[in-house]
Amino acid sequence: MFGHSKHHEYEDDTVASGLGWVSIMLGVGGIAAAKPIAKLIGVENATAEGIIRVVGVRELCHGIDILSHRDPTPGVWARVAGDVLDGVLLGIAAKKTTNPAGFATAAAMVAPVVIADMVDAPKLSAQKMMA
Amino acid sequence: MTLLDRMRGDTASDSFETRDIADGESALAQSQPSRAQQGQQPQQNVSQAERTVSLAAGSILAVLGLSRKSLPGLLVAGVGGSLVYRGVTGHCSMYESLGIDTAEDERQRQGEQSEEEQARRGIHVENAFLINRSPEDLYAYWRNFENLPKIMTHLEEVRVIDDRRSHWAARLPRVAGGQRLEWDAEITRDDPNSLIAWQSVQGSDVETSGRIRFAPAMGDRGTEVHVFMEYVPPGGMLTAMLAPLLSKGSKRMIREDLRNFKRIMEVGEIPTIIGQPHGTCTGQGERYTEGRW
Amino acid sequence: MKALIWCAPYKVKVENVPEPKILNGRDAIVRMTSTCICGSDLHLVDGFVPFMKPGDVLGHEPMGIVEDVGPDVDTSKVKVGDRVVVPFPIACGTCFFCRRQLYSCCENTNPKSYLGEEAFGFATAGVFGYSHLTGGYAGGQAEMLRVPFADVNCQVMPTDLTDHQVVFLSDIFPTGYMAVQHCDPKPDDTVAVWGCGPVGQFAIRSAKLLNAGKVIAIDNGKTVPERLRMAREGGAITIDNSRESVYDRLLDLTGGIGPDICVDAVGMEAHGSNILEHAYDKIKTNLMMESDRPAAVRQTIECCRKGGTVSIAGVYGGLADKIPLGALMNKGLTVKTGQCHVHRYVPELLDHVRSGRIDPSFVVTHRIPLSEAPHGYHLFREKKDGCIKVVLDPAA
Repeated sequence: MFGHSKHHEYEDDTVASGLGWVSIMLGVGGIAAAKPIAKLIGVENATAEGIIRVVGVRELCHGIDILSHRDPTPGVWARVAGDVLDGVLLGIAAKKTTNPAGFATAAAMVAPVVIADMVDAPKLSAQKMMA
Repeated sequence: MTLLDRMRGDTASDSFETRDIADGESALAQSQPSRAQQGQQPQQNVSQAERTVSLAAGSILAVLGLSRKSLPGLLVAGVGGSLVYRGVTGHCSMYESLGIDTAEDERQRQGEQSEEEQARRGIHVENAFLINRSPEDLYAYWRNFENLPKIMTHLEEVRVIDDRRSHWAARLPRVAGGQRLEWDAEITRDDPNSLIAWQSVQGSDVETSGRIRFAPAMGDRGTEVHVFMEYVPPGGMLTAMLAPLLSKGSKRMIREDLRNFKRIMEVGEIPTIIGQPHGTCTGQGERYTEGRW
Repeated sequence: MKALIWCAPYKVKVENVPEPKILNGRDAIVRMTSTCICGSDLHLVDGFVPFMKPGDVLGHEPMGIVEDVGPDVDTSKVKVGDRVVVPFPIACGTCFFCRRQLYSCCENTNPKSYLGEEAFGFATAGVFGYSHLTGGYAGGQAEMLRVPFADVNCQVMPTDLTDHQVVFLSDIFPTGYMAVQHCDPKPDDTVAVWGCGPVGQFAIRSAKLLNAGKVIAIDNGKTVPERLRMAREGGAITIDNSRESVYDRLLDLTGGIGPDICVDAVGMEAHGSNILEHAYDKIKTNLMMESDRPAAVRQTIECCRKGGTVSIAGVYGGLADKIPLGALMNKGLTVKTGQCHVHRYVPELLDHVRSGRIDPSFVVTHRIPLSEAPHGYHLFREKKDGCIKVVLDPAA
């Protein structure tokens, strides 16, 4: 199910499956380590932990979706939608954070993934149209 | 003394001010049953913010999963669906079995302020305008409620029944459903050339109350008009969550209505461009210049 | 009828559109006899002004003959058959601002005031053919025009003056005039005008009409020598900013003190005085991090004498970077600005024209048929063929 051989038709599949694995990691982290993550970002309350858990569940589902289907395109676009949601949440957290340094670290770690999503999704769509 | 100060009730003789929103006792709140009296509901253990995020994330997953039409897709859609469910109801069985409750803090805060929370469920808008006419002229126009549909675009018809009661009909904008709402309102306070206050009658489709004040402005500027309105939109919880957004749209709508009032009274007509000439081109003209710099 | 339509940034087209109708009681319909292309139209077509929709009719310098009036128009002020010039801001005549002669700030003529309020805090008056920020009114580069509040906005003109002598009372002549007049020029004042486009040309000649002491005009002699020449014909001493330092030359001409009144008649599409400044502004505007290129304003603030007045006539739309606020404050400058309150000036300017003190037709370099308007825009923008002002003939 996770082998590369199935995805040969789509070129940017390596990036996509990379994103799939990253999603799984982020998902598991978000669910299991909600409290430490909340502490790092600087919003330590039950509501924030709950939200991080929900985001974790979402990420995990993205991972499952991308890795278990031949065509990762809708999955990556769904990640983009999720990134938008995350962006809004981070924006709100930015104002409330008690730990700006930690917040910046977390944001910096997430940024490359977001960029990868936004670059990859249109590429995948373009390839689909040309195929 | 600003316009708002005056409106907030620094005039001691004004007994209406005791029902001012600032005290947390709005006219509407007094007619609502308190939360404790509402029927039994499953314990809400998810905080408000988390519910919104759950709803959003769940929607993304549900759409994605269903679009896949596969077994893993069904799984994803299922997770999405349960996220949506917990967002809407505020109850998460996982949380229950794990003993987690993220709505605890909120409930504490709410218990202390249930009345204010009631008040906040409604939508409150306030707007002020300077109109170059005397308070008498403005009062006379507004007091005849049958004039109001001319300036308020969302009102379809107002019929005056007697000295205090009138029947109103409005149409919701198409984005909110487009249906026609009707209600009866009665005047609760009428100070000629100064203040009109009204409230919808119990049991109406829409609960609304409002007041309009006319105060002479300085110099030759005319009259300062101040409108305060509140209403509880039909629709229940979902619209309550969208209340901040609806509030912005309502504020603008009332502001534009007041602007229409100003224009009718100052120049006799409302400017419009509907019906004017315009082209059909959709972006395909010729470039008129080579350079961009 | 034919009309010039905005299609997309850099794309305009002449199309057949329905004729205007009376929509409100105080409207009038005017058949155009001459209508012009303005420098601020270029800002619209270049995409600097938001809220344009494909299909919008452009044009805000119209004049013509009144064909029809609505039932509530005061016919003692304007009636069918009158020859009128229509100022570009639409005024109601009775609001707080109109009563104080701030006609371009009228509160009652913009049907989309909420857009202006979001952009500027308060909405300005409706303007013909200038995007939905000013109401989205159909403009005057067409065969016919609907004019709201006709008894206020149709300025009746005498029949013994030609079109080219009065059509500029709609916009550029009062704009240049107000830029100097509201700074209260004295006979010993030096007025420096940045930008020798049509508005700058009128600012120069207005300064002369208002008996200012000395007039200096600044522009780029390499790209627009004909404009500097026209400025000299108007009585100005010219500075070619492609060959000399404007600041040094101004000090030279004013005995080291700097000009008393500095007029910015350039606006938001200024070319910077050096390549770095131009690149900075150009990049920032293209990235939408800055909406205007304020190079001219920067220079006027730098060069103005202490305690002098900077007059901003050029059009700006949004937010600009790196304005020398320190220089502004410490030098004690006064800034006078505003979209021209045209209605205020029409009577006295008409008097200047009738008495022969000025003939505004000097600024016209091209008169072309409305059907060739896109070519007119091209000439005007590229400054080709010695183009300084283009007048369109709607009948041809």
